[in-house]
Amino acid sequence: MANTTIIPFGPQHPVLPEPIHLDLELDDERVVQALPSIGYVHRGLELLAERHDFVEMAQVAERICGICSFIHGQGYCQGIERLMGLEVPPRAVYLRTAWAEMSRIQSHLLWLGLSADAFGFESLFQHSWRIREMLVDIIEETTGGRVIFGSCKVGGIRKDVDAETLQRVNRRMREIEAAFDEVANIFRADRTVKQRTVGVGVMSAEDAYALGAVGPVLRASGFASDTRQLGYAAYGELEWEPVVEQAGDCYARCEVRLREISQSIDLIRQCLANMPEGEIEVTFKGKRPKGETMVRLEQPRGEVCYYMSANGQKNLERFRVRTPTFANIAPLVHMLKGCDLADVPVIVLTIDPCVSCTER
Amino acid sequence: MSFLKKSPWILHYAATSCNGCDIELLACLTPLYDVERFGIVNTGNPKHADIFLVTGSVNEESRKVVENLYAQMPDPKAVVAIGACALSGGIFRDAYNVYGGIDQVIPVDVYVPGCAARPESIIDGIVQALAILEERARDRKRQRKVVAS
Amino acid sequence: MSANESFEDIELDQWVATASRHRADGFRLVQMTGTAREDHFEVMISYDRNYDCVNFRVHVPRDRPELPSLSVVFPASFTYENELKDLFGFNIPGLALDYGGNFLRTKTKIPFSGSVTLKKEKPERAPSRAAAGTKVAPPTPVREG
Repeated sequence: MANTTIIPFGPQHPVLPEPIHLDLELDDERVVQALPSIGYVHRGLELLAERHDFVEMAQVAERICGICSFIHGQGYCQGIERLMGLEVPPRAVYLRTAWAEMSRIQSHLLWLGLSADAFGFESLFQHSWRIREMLVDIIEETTGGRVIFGSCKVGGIRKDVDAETLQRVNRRMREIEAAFDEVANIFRADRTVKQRTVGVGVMSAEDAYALGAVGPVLRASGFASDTRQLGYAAYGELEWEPVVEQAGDCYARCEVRLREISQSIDLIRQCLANMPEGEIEVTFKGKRPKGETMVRLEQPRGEVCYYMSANGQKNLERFRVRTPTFANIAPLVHMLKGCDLADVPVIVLTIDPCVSCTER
Repeated sequence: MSFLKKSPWILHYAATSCNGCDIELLACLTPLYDVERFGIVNTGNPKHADIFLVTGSVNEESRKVVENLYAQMPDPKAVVAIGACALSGGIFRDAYNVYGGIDQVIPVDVYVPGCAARPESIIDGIVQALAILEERARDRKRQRKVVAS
Repeated sequence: MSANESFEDIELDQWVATASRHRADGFRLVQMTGTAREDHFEVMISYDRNYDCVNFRVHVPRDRPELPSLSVVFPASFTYENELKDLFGFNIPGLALDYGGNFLRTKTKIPFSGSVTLKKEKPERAPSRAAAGTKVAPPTPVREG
């Protein structure tokens, strides 16, 4: 047997927009073991709950990650609202849901672009991001921000969206859908994409479940688990089914995300069609959060958990975030075992690593 | 050595960025903003890069990487710090693992504010860095002449 | 939203047994986290099956923060356990993939142990490489012109 070589992968790597480091132990071209090491983005923001009061903390929560920003804010607010026993008005709930789905689409499009770039298909990267810009425009028009929305606050949302804008959003969704379908066809049918992804990084449903995989990684292995099924926000009132694929390889993970984009477009339409009228926030003057709760939401990358513990003070006692990528590290290590060196970037990208989430 | 007036190659590193500025930076490269029309190319290799774009603040681990990447870039070079975190630590300034802005470890030439910084302002920052880069290249040439004569 | 939220306190010696029982019952490991309370550490673990989430808590004394590893039961627990080790200073016997305190390298060691309080102060300057004692000299900023 040849000697094993250790190749460092990252933290600064052309395919990675973010720093994650892997030590790849290689036997010839085959990966024997992959050892991830993180900590390049660790800021320690969970402890910031000691400095910022529970209202301000929503801003920090949103900045855990710039891609899943809105859903982080939403999760945090949901937790605090539950601790304080606040009932958020339905209009705010529906708008939150619509924004969460928009943020899912933009995240998935972003990922599709990056993964296309990882397997050397640059024009596809450009096309995915072109469509993403169309969506970011809608987000900017309705919330005011491009990546950090800042529209979610404890008790509701910051700003209402008028009916005219909502109609415009509905119209633009059609354009986005048409443009997306074109790109999705390339992802589905192109030989280059297939050759780089089919049969690469296969993980069985049992392994995925046992290793605690979440989100598209778990669903691509044939396990229908989507935290939105809990029915938080407006999901309980909308019609949808979790997207599942059976193959468990990189292609399946790609397919799950492609189908989820279409699903999210549909969910946004449903939100817009059923948008209730009324208030957008409740006041909670003088109230303070008390007790503890565990909130779970579905992010573009999978299930996210927030544990919050409060004792009636202005500041939370403990704020803990378990992000989807953190749960997907163990499955990633498993998938990398035995793959080719050239496939490593593709496999790493198919878990959609979000390092700043992971390390907080 | 002749120095190209335009077309800088950029190197991007996310120090402890939340991704917000990183996506905006990547968005600059894509069709809507398309900085490649100015010849700006994103490279993964510090040895090919002219402008170093850093997003996010410096923490225990990333400061070594930032220093390293900066040291590996050939002169003349310019550094652009992007986003509130890269300027001062931003909202994470008080977090236990954050040292503060990028200027804590390497000299910064252009500061691009914003949380997240908008693509327009990032492009503006790169253009300003270009002027600094040109000036540095000129100075180097002048110094060379003085040494030669 | 998990409809019925349960937080159950268990004894330290039940830690591994609870995990094995849940593994056998088809639960999946959702997360593991620590909380620094005044006189003890609290470690919470959550399992999920069919969107039904159950949480268990153990109290770990502050003077001897030790918790048996669940690596054998849930292989994925290594990330959480290394995190506990680095942020709370736990000792985890039986950890399958031990980073030896290098999973999350932080400026202040074991920041969650309660000794770090965040104050508004001037941020300290990041030590340069030379100060840290490494061989490579820090790049000297040359401001030309």
